[in-house]
Amino acid sequence: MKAADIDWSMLRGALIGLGIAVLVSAVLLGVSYHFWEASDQKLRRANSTLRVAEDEYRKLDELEQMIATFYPRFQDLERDGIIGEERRLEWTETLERADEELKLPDVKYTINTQDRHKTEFSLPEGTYKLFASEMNLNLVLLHEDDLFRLLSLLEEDADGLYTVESCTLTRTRDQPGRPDLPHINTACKLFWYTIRNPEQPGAAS
Amino acid sequence: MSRRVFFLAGGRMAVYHWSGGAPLEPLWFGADEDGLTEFSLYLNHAPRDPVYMLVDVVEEEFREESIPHVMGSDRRSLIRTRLNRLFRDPTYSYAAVQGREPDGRRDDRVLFTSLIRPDLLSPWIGQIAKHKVPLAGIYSLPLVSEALIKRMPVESDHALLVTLQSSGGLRQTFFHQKRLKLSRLAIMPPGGTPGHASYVLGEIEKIRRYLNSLRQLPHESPLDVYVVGGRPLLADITRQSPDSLTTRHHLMDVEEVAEMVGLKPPYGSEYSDRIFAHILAKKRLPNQYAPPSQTRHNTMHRARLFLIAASIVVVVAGIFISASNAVDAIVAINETSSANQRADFYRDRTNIAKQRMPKTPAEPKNLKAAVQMADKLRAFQATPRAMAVTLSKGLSGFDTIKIDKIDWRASTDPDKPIGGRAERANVRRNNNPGGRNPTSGNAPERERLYQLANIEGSIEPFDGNYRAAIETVRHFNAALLALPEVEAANVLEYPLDTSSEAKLSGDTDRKDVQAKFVIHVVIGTGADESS
Repeated sequence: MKAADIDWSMLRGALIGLGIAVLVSAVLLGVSYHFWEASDQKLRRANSTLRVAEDEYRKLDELEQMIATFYPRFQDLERDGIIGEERRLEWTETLERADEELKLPDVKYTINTQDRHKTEFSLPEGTYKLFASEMNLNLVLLHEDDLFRLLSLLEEDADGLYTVESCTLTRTRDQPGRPDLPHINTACKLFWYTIRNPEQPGAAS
Repeated sequence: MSRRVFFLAGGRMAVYHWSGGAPLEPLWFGADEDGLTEFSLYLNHAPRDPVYMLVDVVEEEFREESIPHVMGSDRRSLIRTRLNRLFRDPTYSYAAVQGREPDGRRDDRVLFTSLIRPDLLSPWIGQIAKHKVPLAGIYSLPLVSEALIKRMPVESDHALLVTLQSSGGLRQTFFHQKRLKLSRLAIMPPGGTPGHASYVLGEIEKIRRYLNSLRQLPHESPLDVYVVGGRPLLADITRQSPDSLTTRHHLMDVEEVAEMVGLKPPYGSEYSDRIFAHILAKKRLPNQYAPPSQTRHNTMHRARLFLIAASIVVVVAGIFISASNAVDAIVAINETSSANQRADFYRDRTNIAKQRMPKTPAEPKNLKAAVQMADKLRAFQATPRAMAVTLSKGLSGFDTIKIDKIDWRASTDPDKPIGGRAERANVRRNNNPGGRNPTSGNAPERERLYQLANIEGSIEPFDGNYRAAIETVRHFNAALLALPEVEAANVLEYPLDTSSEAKLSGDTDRKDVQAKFVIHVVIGTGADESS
């Protein structure tokens, strides 16, 4: 059938009816879909909130266990000056006491500013971050054991935790008949570690 | 869907409507001016139901011919050409393919039919078109008879169906294997039933002779004639004992035949008009004679019905899906409310439990991370003591070796440069197949802390014997390597570099000569963890 053979007068009413039907259906579908979608989004959010609340509730025992296990140790670390603010004054005092005890010929040190520190090895992630202050120790020693005794005293007496990054020990020429003269120059680089929450400046707790 | 049948016969139009599945008494319209005016009024006021127009006129021709067996548009074209050739005016013509020839090319056997007086239909068709009445088709009564004879208890291959119409027509239609072959309409004379019976039998004998002359009848068996009529006519025919060697009569009461096609008794007529009208209305046969231009309004009518149906489907589907969405939304709202209540319940319980816990400066997981961080820092804490101990053990037995300088550092990388001097530690020692290689095999990569040192020393006293000095350094290096904590030990500089790549100079007086050397040592420490 050609287009010219179409009697539009017979189809006009039905076509208008179809148009109205499509329009009404589209409006109904649009409104009902929007209604459903909004309700479904609220349901998904509510389910998500519920899952979080359920998880939190289920993990209460785990939290209690975690607090029982780690909080005392956390407090110990705070007392030891590893968590919280660094205690430079105690480090220097410990150095001076060690110098007096070991009677080292010469002890010089510098401590640089504290910065966020990245170690070569991986560390657990959390809100607490690692900070470190670089200490350069220049010592004149009678014997190399003095270095290790000094480091032991630092570890035992000073608040905080350190690691030795590098050391250079150089033997100076011995003078015959003068064993009392120093014959080892030592230059060591240490890092004093501090763990703290950068979002709580000035205090760890 | 309502429908109606217009039955054109004997110059009159009978209009049949149906009520409760049964045809009502027809409306009659004559072919004169008054009849056509009334017909026009009827069409104007009657509902626009589709019209099936049944025609029973003398002016209808039947030709059976063979055409090559082709399909599709070729067949349509061939049939159209043959219709144009067979009939002078093929406006109302039709072709029914009835099978294939048994021999030769096995051509198609086609029955061509045509109404050879289109002017008989023109006034009626004109009114139908004028009122935009949907004309479903124009049908030939003999062709519709095929549907009737298939419902009758006819077993003979050669059958002659005889029916009487109210227009006074006596229709004789010959079938071979229930396929229409020939039909003839005779006009019954006026008068009583006894005369009619004689006339009917006479007409049957005439057509039998004609069929015989066409060699359409078998020699060995009589022609089976099925006469459909009222009981008086059939009784009159029976009284005349018409059966012979050439003809065998089967007299069928029109009431019984009406029941065979589905009409409920009582039939109430001695004529077959309503039987044919009913078959046509019920069977919905495809159009036979009407050209497309005359069924145009029926096409529009069907398109309109389709659009209305589509509108209903669209609205119903829209309502159904929207209702489904609304139900889902209401269910979601209820579930949301329930989920919120449960979340509040768990939050309350959690808050109560947390209030009983000790106050901590941070979340327990962060406390744990901070403690574990401190543990790991302790595990990787380093001092040069281990290297000093190793060197002391290595120097045992080497009194002539003096250590001048130690460059030391701690690292997880055994190849880390020391003092700007990069040396491969080569911790995979070939002389130790079971070596302490931390990254060998398929085990996960482990973090391990190494202590690296460049040991600068000299042979004292040195008498200028470089060969002995080199040998001493080699032995010292081997002694270091033999220690279990040593991962690698390599001599970086010998007392005398005898390699071909190096420049060599000396003083044979052996005054102020020195035997210095450098050894690179790597030891592993206790820290050894999975990363």
